[in-house]
Amino acid sequence: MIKIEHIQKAFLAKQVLRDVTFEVEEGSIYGLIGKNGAGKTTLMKIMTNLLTADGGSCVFEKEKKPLSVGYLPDLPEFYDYLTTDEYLDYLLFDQNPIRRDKLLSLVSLPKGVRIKTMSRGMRQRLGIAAVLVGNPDVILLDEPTSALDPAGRSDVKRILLDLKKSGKTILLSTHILADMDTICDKAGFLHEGTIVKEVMLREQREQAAGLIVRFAGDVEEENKETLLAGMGCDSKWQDAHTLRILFDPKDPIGSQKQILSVLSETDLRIASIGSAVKTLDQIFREVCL
Amino acid sequence: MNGAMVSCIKKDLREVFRTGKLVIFLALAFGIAVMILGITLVFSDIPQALWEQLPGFNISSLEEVISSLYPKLVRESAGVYAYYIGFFYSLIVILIVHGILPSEMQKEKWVLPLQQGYTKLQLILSKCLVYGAVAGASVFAGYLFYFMVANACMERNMGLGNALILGLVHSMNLFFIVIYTELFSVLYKSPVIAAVSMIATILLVPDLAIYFSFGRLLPTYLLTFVYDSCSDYGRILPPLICNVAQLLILGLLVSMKYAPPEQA
Repeated sequence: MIKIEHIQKAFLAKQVLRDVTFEVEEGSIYGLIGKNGAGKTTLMKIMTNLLTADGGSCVFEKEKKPLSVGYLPDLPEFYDYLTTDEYLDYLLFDQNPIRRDKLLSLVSLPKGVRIKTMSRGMRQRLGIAAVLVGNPDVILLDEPTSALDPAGRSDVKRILLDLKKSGKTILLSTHILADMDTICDKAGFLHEGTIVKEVMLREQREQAAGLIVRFAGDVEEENKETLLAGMGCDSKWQDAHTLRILFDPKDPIGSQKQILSVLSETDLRIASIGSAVKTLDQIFREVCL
Repeated sequence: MNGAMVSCIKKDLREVFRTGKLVIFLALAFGIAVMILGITLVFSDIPQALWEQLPGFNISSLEEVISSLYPKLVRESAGVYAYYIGFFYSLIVILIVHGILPSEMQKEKWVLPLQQGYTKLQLILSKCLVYGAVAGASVFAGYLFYFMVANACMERNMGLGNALILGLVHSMNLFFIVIYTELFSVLYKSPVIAAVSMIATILLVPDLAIYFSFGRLLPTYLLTFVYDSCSDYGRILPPLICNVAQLLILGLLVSMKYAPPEQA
């Protein structure tokens, strides 16, 4: 369990972290969300002892035994004149070529590539391999996907999910909220120096609470009334062409069948159907802007 | 030496080879040697050429100036080479090395190695040893090359043993200069201050210290010793001891600043 309690940090007169408190479940991925300058990097550096907090505590332990922590900065810097295998050998004190090869294959990097010639995506993967050299129980990643193209982001996400499967606990920060939606189990919004909201993403994904149906063009009042009456559960029109329908919590399957049958019978053209769960982007706008 | 230190030195040796710094250091040492040899051999003919072009032109004062600046005796000429190394080579090497460690720290290149068990002291010490050794070895090779060529072209008045010792002392000078520069660069807030203070010390102190009796005890006397191509080796010991003591104090200050934090 990672327990962050009442962390405070100020730089001169600027109070960056006022009172940060949250917990990360073992073997899960926790996403830290916040605007630029919210203090995400500062918090991660405090968690890895690269900065000293003015107050509060960070506890990393399992059954009263301390957990090891690895940290990867947002744009990791390497010795560019080395090759991928030489760099990992250096971090392994030239003593474990088998582990070096395993790490390279985990992040799908070849041996012998000069770091200077590598793309950002490859560097980020090398960074993850470098963090894993000491086999830490907890991995802190600062913006691991922010500078990557879609292919690079997808690679990093795959690696993170593999690490989670192997029992690692991961805490990451990113601006790309779509990434958080798909891989994180829980997300915390850091705003004005404190965690203002936490969202259980795993539960949200597993228990979609309803649907948002968007019709092509404006829907006439008469049709709106008919649809609302047919749904038989809590539903309302958000605007002239968007209907928000929430499943009946007592009988979600029944209301799901009812909704789909009403929609299949309507003559109105449907433009899109999505989950009624608020996206992280929507929550971010509500709590951080 | 432990495994971490060996890995660190191996990595820094790769840095020196692959970033072209070894080539720069060697090119400087040998380039200065070729330049002075060329000037010495060409300039010595200028007064004669002038006298032939301008009959009646008094060449004696010009000959004196040139022979004092670029003497054609091996011992004195080797002193001129040593002076140029102390002046230009040191200047360029200081400018190259003063920013290396602060830049690595600022760019957070140490974050990953420190997590895996390296200490800041190991990273600093390895860089000092490797850069110092490479600069020193380049100067030693350059000095011997100069001595060999000068011995073939100029009036011989210096033995090989003397040249070897002087070459060794000068390589030690450069070794210490590089180490001081790197240690100062991580002690001072700005590496530029480290570079400026080192350059000022090397360029001014040897010339000023000779006016004082204690000058021979200062570490900079080792530079003067080579500039003068001395063969009284007993004079090396006091400044060498002083140098080592000074280096130990500096090392202590650095280790106090960069000692690993105590475990809570």
